[in-house]
Amino acid sequence: MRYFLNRVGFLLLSLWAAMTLNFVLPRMMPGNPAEAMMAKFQGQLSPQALTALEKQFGLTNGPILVQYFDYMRSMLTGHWGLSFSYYPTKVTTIMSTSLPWTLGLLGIVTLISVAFGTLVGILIAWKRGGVADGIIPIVTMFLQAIPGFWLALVMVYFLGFKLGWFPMAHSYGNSVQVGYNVNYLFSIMNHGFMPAVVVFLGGVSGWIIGMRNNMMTTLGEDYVVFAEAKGVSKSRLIFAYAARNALLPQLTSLAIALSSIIGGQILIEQVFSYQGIGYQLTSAVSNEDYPLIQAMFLVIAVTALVINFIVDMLYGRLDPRVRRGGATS
Amino acid sequence: MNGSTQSRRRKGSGALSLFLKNPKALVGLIIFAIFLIMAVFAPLIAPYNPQSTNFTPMQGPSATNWFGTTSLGQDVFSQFVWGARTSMVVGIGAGVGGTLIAILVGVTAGYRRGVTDSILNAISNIFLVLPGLALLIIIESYVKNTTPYLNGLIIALTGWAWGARVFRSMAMTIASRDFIAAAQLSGASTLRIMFAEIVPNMTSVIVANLMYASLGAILAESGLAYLGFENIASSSWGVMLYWASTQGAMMGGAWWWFVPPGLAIALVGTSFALMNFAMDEVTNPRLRSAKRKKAVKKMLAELNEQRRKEHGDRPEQPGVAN
Amino acid sequence: MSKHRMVSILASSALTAAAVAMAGAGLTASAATAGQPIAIQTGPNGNFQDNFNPYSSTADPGTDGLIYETLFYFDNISGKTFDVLGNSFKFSHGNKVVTVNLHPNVKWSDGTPFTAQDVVFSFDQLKKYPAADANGVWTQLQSVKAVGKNQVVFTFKAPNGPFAEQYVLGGTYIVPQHIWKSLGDPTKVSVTKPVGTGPYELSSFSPQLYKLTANPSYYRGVSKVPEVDFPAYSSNASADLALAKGDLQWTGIDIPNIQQTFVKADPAHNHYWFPPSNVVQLYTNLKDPLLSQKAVREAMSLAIDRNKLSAEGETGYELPAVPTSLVMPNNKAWLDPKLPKQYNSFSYNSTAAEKILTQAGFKKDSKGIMAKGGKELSFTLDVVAGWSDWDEDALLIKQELSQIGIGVNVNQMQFGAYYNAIAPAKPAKPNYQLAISWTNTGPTPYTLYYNMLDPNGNFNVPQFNDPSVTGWLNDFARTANPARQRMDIFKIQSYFAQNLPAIPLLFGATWYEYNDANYTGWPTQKNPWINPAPYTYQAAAIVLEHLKPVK
Repeated sequence: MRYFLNRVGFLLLSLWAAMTLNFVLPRMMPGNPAEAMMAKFQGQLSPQALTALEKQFGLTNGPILVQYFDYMRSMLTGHWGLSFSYYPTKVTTIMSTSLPWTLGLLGIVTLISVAFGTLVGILIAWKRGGVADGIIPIVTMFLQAIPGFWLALVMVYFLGFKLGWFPMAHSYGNSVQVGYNVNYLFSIMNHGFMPAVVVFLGGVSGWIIGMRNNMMTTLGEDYVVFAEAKGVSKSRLIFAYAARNALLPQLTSLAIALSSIIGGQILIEQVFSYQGIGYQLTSAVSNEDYPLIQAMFLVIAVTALVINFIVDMLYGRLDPRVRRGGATS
Repeated sequence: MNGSTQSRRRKGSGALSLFLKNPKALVGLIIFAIFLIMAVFAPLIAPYNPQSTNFTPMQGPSATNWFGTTSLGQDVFSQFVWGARTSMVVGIGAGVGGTLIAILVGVTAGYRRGVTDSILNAISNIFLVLPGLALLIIIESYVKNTTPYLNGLIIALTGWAWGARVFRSMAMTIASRDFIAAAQLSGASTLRIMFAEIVPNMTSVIVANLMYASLGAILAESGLAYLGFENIASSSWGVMLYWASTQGAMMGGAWWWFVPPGLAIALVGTSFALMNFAMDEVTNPRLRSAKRKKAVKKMLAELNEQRRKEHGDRPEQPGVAN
Repeated sequence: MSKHRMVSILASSALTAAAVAMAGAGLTASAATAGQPIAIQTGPNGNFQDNFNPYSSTADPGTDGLIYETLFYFDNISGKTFDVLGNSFKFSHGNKVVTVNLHPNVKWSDGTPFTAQDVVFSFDQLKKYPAADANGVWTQLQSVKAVGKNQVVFTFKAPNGPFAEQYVLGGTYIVPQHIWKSLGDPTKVSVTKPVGTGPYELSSFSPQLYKLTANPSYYRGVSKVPEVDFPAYSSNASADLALAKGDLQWTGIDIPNIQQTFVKADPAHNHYWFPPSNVVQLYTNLKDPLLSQKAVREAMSLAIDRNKLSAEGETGYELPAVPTSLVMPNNKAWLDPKLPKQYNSFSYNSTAAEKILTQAGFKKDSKGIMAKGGKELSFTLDVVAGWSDWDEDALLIKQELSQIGIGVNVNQMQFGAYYNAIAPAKPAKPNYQLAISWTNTGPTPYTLYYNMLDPNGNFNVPQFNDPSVTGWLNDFARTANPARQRMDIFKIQSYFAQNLPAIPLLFGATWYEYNDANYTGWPTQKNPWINPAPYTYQAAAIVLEHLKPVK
């Protein structure tokens, strides 16, 4: 119980720190949101508009502490306000149109990567020293080392533009009826395929290699070696004895991978014009769109901290030593 | 096996020769050396000034311009060579920087525990949690003229958290071993225990982190440059890709401009990975692919003894073993 | 991403052709060649947000012009005036009063008749909610009154013809009173079902594509283009591909290597035209003790090779500017025929430039930098990071100025910091030494000169103030006599060329690519009848009205 309270306290502390940082960082940026907006117009808008924009956004120069408490209150009460760069659209509206796409695409790809990578990791650890063990880690590592946006550009150009096999942009076809129907789902899959491949190749190697190494380590543990010496069948040895325990470290990585998908993949979204949150976040930052930055950072921070919290708790259950906290304390 | 049976602080030479005999290590080392030589001797290797616009624009590879020319008539090969220097410095520099911060934070947190741990862990969690690219853009807005080196620094300062987490749990595991307790009893200072006892025992994890952090930094730098967050006059592979894409290299058929930087990044990354695989195999015999069943059986009896001395790079062990 | 690429994105989709079921939305049945839709892209934008509010500066493209309309449109490229909701206007009372006759029988798209009351209401909204008044019309207006159903009388505090035309008659979009009177602060409304008078109506919306269909009861006749699509693209690279593939028909983006990447894909139908829209300047902070010396600016101007800037920085899309800072050829009617010849174009001569500095008492110091009294000609030059053409221009300028002993340190800054340095909201003062930036243009050269040179101008980046220039500008604003206005512009242009309050570099381009396979009547270089960019919204509506299906 004490461990639990400790963790909760820690969660709240991190949350407060993240929110405070989130308030401070964008406000330290030079210029203000109204000035940043002028980038969009470049002389097409009367320069006078700057004054009007400042009024619209309610940019006050009140004491920073008052602004801070206002900010904390509105963040906690869910009044996230109106976006500056898409004024007067609600911040929540912007997030609700882009976040599901990011979560859908990256979430599914991450889960596939983990499942696939873990399985392959187990298999090549089993057949260690074999051809697959020699080739797969290196090839996937090479693919992971290619800049994702570069691969994406090449794919869009050849598979999309030249060959026309896949759509070059957007998350679903414009002619399909949005809703629960086969065409729509098929269209989403068709449009999501190339981005998914890029994201998959950008991450799967880590899962394969991580799992392989965990397996190797576990296979060398006393209890596994004893089991092997006792003549336990190989598949039973791999799956029932070794893999179960080798999965634990993957869990931490999964937590981090899952909490990082919520920030989106700006580079890939941009190349595929995919309607995800990464583009919105990046443009919000460039436009000094405080309300949008704050809301997005808050969602990202809360998600990540909560996932980490859950993993911490799970670890506490699964590995008592973590709770005991080592010999020195 | 000599690496693991020797005393824990003296495995250097044996490991090195093992490392060099490993084919993965060799290939990785060769690729890495090629780019390193290119980086170090860039002024001698590059035939022309990478920025000068003296050639016919958009020409394919030829005897004068090995990798063709850009739309402004610059020599792509010269840019590529100078880019190697920048990208290697940024990648390795940011990798080293980030890893150092991670060691400092991770080992301190893992060894000291308690309040220190909570605070450091909170800080690293925040860095882990805040979206890296967005954070980078915010920081970039404070600085004028973002050179690749500055980007490398920013990448190091924002990208250490993942490593710190790994090191923390490693340090925790190591701290529970007998020889640490022994060192404490003999009155060694905290700093000494941390850096003379714990850190040397996580060498392979540190190297692994360094490799991945360097690869991550090269990728991050190229991404930042591609998005336009880097001084466009600098020579780095990322800036080359930025120009190639803003000038429509691919649609204009100028593959010679677009392909080399991307491929080079992937090759450098692969060389890091190869060296890391080899390193793992050398420092952690269990990862070695060679069949060792017989050895296992023979050494069954010695195992317990050996385990204590071993410098594991395994992540947290499941509790079942004890 | 060049600067034009950041502007804001819209674009088209691969599937538009297939998608169009001409579901009769008001199409005249006679249209046998049932028109194909036109897909428009105005610049990268990510997802669209469902907002068609003309009071919002971030409303989706097409809101202004295609759905809501102004009274008139004053074109900055052709210099022509187009009637929109207004039929005619007349200045009186020493230019203090403008009387506008409205087009009769105009209806809102919900069927309610449009009247002079709607115009009065739209302006009153701006007065009531100053945050909505982006053009600051109430800084100049005294009152707006309706006379009967079809006439509106605008009274100004002081005569200001150019302001009345560009911002009051040409820059304020009219909304229906019967809907907006109950909406409250108009800047805080997300309008998702817009009701306007324009040639198009919103027919469907999604964050990646929205469609407008022709207004079946449009008072100038139903548009021959039955549907206009706005698909979203997040980067120019992806819009470039869509354009080359034929998924887009009308765009306003800076495309590199356009001959290869766009025209070549369909040489018969893919065309582009990049007419100048403004003058890109090297701004000099005149509050700086060194930059305020004419000799320094003159030497800098002479030492810059604008042809190189044009060829290398701008890939030939933007041509060298002229010393008068007029936008040529758009402003050719305003060019003084007696202007001394050397003011018609810039020359490049670094030896002469160095000589000017030496004559002004500067000498190269030990570092090779020109100095006088211990003060070095060494400056920072602010540009926007990621606006690659300007960044490249800045580097070329740095190279060239170093040859005559002027040190330049290029500052590539994020946009917010940059704008804050060169044109912060009043009363803050600009804080920079050198900067590359644009100029604000309008139907006459007055807009450019006023904004840059008048102490009250809104883009007075150089912090220029000279009573004689202010006098000429005031005279231009007050008089109704075109000949006198021309004389004022003549005086200002020769003053500009002689004194270089800013150093004109290049003509900023209007981006315009189109495919004429389905429609004819596009503005071209040979027939430059209107600003052709799809992002100049009232102009875009007028272009669409003039397009005819290919037989």
